Amino acid sequence: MRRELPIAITFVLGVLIILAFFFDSPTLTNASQSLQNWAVIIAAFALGIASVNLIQVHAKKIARGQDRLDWLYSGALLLGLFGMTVIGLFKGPADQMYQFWFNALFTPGQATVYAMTGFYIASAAFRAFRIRNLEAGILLVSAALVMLGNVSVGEALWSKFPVIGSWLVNVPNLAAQRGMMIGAGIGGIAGGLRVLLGIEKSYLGSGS
Amino acid sequence: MVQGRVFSFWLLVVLIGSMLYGMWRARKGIAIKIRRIAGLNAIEEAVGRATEMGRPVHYTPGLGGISAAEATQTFAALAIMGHVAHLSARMDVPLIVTIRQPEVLPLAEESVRQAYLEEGKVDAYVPTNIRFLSNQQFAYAAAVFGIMAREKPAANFLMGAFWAEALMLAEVGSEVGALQIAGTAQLSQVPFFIAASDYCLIGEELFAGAAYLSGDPTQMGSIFGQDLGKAIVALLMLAGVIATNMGSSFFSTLLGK
Amino acid sequence: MLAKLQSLDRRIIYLVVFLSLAVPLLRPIGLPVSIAEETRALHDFIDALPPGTPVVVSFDTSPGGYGELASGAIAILNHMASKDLRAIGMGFFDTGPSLLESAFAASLYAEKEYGVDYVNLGYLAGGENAIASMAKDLLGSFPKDFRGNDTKSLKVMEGITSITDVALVVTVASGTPGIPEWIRQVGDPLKVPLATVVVAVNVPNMTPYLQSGQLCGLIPSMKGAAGYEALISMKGLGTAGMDAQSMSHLAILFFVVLGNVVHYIGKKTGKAGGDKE
Repeated sequence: MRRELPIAITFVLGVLIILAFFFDSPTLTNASQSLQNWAVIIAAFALGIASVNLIQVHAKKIARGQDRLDWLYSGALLLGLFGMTVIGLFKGPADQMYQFWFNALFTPGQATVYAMTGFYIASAAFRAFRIRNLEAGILLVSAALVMLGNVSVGEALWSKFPVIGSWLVNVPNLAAQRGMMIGAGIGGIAGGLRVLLGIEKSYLGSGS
Repeated sequence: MVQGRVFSFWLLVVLIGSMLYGMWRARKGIAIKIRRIAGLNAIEEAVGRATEMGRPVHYTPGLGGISAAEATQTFAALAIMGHVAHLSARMDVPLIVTIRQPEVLPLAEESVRQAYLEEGKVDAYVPTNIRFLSNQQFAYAAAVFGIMAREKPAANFLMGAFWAEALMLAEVGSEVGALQIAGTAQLSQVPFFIAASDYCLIGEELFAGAAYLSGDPTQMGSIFGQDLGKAIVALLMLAGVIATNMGSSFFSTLLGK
Repeated sequence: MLAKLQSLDRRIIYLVVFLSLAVPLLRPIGLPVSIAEETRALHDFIDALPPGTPVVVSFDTSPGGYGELASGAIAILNHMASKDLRAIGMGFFDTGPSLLESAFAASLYAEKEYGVDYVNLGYLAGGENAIASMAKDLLGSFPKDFRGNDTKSLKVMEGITSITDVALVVTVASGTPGIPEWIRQVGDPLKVPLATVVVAVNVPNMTPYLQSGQLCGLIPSMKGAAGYEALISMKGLGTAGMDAQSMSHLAILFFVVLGNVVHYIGKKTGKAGGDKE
């Protein structure tokens, strides 16, 4: 029963949401809407549970005071977690103090990590973009043409770079992407079907 | 039926039909031959490498949740994680699972705990090794970088839905010398994984991976059905291209229904 | 020498990339800016809207992706403000509305009146489900705006009861929910024109939507923003960043070529290396 009940619920609710997508029935639409709202609420509660996990891991680190400065980082994390929660709860996210920390700490922090992609692209390109065979050679030349077509300097060097770059992106690249997209879409349906029918149940903790 | 979704509905029915046929065929005992997927065959090697080096295994089931379009990727990643957890328990190597979506945490915890239980290694299960880091994309990514740098995993599994952090996660894994197996159906991230990891499951291979590893004939049958569905779609596309080029509007009308 | 290049310290690569970005930002070269067809299409669409027309601007991005999208988002807001269009802001990323606040402050809307010319309706949780809810009931989904005002009472919302009352939706998108979700829940079923400001890595994925008419325009990353800024004759972050983007692309191409030269010489002299085994 521990496994059968969740599988039965998954099947019934999954089918209901699929039918609500295709059929114009107010009953189905309302039921699907309510279920989706429940999903949002459950996800919000899950955030609470996950925060407990986060606090456990970092409280332990602080208590042990181990690993060089790890305890200090953990302290900063917990301070940020509780500080922003308190300001958000009592003053709201539009409050000046909330906005200050959001703009002064959170935004630049996130933007910095995102910007690091540029550096990693360079190191990955140096390490992995090698002409080992004909296919890799074609890939490299295409990538160079697309890159030059994407920036002003390419256009300044030769006006045809953007034309060639766009053609490569919109024709051969798109053809391959569509093929992969269709394959992944059908694969996704098969994966979803396995979950709905309870054939794939490892997420419930059953063995592989 | 909702206008514009009639064709999609019947196509879904046909695709599900082909998958059910594949499963039925497998249950009847008709053997299905599936090509070897290098990335999946390398899982055992990667966990074994971690055992030899005395370093942990890191697994992330992606950054997607369980209620949006990426849900199927997350479920596939969780299924593969179950397999990795069994191997880790069997080979006595610590498994660190990092989580971005809060709702994935209980599923991951249960899946890993159960794997350790089934391997008779329940004492080796460390709950704090299944870690929720942050639901913010780049805060999560930064936390994974930290874990990689400090704990230096010998094997790094990146499975599921990833976005802009994909390349960084794989590059950091490469920096610490981990053997990396990645898999995603997020097409914009596939090239990064191919460039930066040792093995990459591309798109549908991720979904097939869970079934492939289970060894369960019914699940393997669904892969056969999936390919049958792909053949049907390819035929439809071919017919559509020929008909449209011959001036027929049959397929465009059909798609608009 | 070869051995040194084969095991080139990553930090040297990072330093060169950093310099290729920082130097042109500090000392711009002034390379020419081209305007993509899809960017011009979006500009023309907005340009043709009469004053007072409501346009939804949805911030579906995090602070990370926003670094790349800010220039395009601000260019659109500047154009809308100069045309006296009503901006209805919202977000389906939890960080979206806070970013929207700073975007409004950095655009010409800062000189206009909040609640009359523009509004920030805030965040609705639930990803694609939330977009679906908003598509069914706009006012019910956002009873209060981000600043706690009663949405219905705001002048800027006059005559707007449903998403179909707006002339255009522009989603500033870097992930999920993003363009496909807006197309599924709003563009296709309700026939509301959609456009997007999108990160460079997602541009190829947008092509099918442009070709099929599911998107009426697109600002592809910073390059698109520079083009849009040229169209509205307001130089901003996009134009400033184009030289840096060009130079960093050249730096990456240089490392690709260098990597291959090292690989080729290593192979010829029988010294394998450079690759991770």
